[in-house]
Amino acid sequence: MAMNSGAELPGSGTGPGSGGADVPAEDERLACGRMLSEVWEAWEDGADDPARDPHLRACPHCSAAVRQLDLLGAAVREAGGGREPEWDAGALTERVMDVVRLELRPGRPLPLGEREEDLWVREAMAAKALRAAAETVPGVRAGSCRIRPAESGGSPSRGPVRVRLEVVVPLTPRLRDLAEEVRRRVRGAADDALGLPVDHVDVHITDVTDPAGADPGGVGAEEGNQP
Amino acid sequence: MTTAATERDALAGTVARAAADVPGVAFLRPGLADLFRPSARTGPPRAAAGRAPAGVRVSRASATGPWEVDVQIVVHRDRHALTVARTVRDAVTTALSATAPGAQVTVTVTNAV
Repeated sequence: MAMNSGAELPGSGTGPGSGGADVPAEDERLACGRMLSEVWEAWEDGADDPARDPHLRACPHCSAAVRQLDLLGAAVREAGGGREPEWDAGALTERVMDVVRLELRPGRPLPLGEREEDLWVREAMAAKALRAAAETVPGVRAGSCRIRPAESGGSPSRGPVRVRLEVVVPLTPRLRDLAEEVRRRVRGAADDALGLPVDHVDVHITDVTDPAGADPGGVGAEEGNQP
Repeated sequence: MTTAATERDALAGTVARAAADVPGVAFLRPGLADLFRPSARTGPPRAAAGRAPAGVRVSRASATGPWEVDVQIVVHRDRHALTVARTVRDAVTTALSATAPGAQVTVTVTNAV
């Protein structure tokens, strides 16, 4: 398929180490050591600016991974044959890309329901639902969301999971209360939308924004971190 | 095609129909990854005819062992993923009760649309 031309990843990072029959599509590590999922996220967040992270531009592995994502996007956009759509194609494009992205990077399987059941949800889908729940808090933007088994042991674990969510929040004197509200909604969505047993939700405030919207860049957020 | 492969594909078809009919299931996992990255898959290409539907995998460890059925579904966004997954498991188990009693059914929700 033409999709592949010029966009092959130079040496897939998943080697013989990923042995398990049913843990195929966990985080894929590129040969340079970066996670493919993180590279894609950084690209979509605009973090490919060389001033912020020169590695993304310079590294052949990272740039090939980004090119692959770009090709997918271009193919989806051009699927309409260049016709001028009579309706907003952007939303549809976004949804198609969403499906494609989750198909390619489904993440690890996480347990749904009771311990003795054999029901699972893929990490990428669960993360999408939890990020959306966090963003129902006004002004909150969700970033990276990692979901891992809370207990180590057999793979894949059937126990409850631990969620680590990064958020950008509006500047407020009550950052802790805001983080608590985010945590509450994430827990609620895990229960009400998914049925995913959650042991712990870590909310990390990575940045704060000016509520007046005067400075979209935000200010330093070190003190916003919540363990 | 061997008899075993025919039986397996017939079971996979039964599973796919039972799962797709469950309310809340948008469709079975489409398997786009296979289209984008054919070289990443190992093993010989499967015969076009009788190919198992994407999102359903049927296997058994031995000729007399229980069948292991793996179903991957995409659910509707407004549905409770766990409830849909349980309903799929029960529907597939029921559909297989005559032809493959005791089958072990695994259900994975891969996406919501």
